[in-house]
Amino acid sequence: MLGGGLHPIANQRVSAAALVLILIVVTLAYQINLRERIEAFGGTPDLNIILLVFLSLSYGRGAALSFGFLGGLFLDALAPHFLGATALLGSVTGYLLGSLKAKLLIENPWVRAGISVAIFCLWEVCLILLYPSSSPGSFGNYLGGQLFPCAVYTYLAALLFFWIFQKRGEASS
Amino acid sequence: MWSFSDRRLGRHLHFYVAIVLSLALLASGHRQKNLLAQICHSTVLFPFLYLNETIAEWSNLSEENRELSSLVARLLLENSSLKEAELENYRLRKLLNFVRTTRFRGVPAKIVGGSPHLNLKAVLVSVGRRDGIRRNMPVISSDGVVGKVFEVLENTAVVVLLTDPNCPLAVIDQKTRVLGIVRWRGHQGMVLDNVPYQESVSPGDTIISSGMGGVFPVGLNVGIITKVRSEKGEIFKKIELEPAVNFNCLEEVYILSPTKE
Repeated sequence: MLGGGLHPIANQRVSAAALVLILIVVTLAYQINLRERIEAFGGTPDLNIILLVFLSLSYGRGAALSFGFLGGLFLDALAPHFLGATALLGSVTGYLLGSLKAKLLIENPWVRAGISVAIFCLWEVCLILLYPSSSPGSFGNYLGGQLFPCAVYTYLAALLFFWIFQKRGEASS
Repeated sequence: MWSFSDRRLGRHLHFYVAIVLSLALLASGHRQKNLLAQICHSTVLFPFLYLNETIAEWSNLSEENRELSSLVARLLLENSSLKEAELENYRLRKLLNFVRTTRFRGVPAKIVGGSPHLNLKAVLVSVGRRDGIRRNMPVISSDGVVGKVFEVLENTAVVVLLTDPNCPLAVIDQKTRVLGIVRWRGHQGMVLDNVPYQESVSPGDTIISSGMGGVFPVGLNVGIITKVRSEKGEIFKKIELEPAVNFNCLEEVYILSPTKE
């Protein structure tokens, strides 16, 4: 365990911080090196949102806020025009969802995957509202050609991720 | 001592800081955004971007490798065809040079098939009556005498080869001017007959056509003497020849047609 000589709470915080950093590295590696190569029917899964939901519902608002802000910031750096947008959305989403962790206690992978897709769709709407000049030409084409495939792909990827995480949790307990 | 509102503020401080920073970034100008993006690119994002470029290079190399392999295969095939064309060119030039020095007109022909007659060592060539070919016309290659026209059809002709036992040829030793008859004799191959035992012929001597018999012009390469034996009581020498022409590798021939002059 990291920080073996520390107070248990501090130990927990160090572990969470390390996990956040690792997941940021994973997200960046996926986004830059892998995402384009696994495209199917015009869609790719949004790993950033999946990991954000995971951290929010499993580790609370602190870890989720850090991940949402830093991860969003570095992802925004890939497209400077949108700098700050994903960081803002990630911060708000991570903090709010993380705050509800104790009240929601959602373990079901289907529900967690559904939350991931809902957040994905909400973020897309927010980005369109924030940057109307960057909106896709025809809403119908955007809906069918990009949003829907990405939403489906994200749902399936999230379902797999949370299912594996649940099985791992059951195995360790 | 912290008041209740201070504690609440403290709990949400990180959130407020993140929101303020995000809004500041959103509101900043293009220059500031680009500068921050460059800093992120050259620090945190650099390893990932470098890896992405390397992967892209590898996949391009793989594609380029496939294209180059395909190109190499095409070029090898083309090179092989060109070499064949070069060799054919050389053979035909050699043949053409010989034909120009004689009183014959050479009609080029390709070997298109084997003998239609089972008991005849012959080949089918691609020219016939319409090309002015007639029976008994001599047939040569760039290396020497091949045979003579045995049968003529409209577009093709049958050429009996020197390897047929029934195709003798009057010849002369180029060095000693000794006359003889060349025949093909089964397992012995090409032999020179009718050379009296007292005549002087040696291995290595070149045998050429003598012009006698009225079919072949004088001076065509027939073969080289490889073995000479004189047996007691025999009036003729036993002479074996190495043919000038490789009858297993015939592709183009010339049929000699006498010119009107």
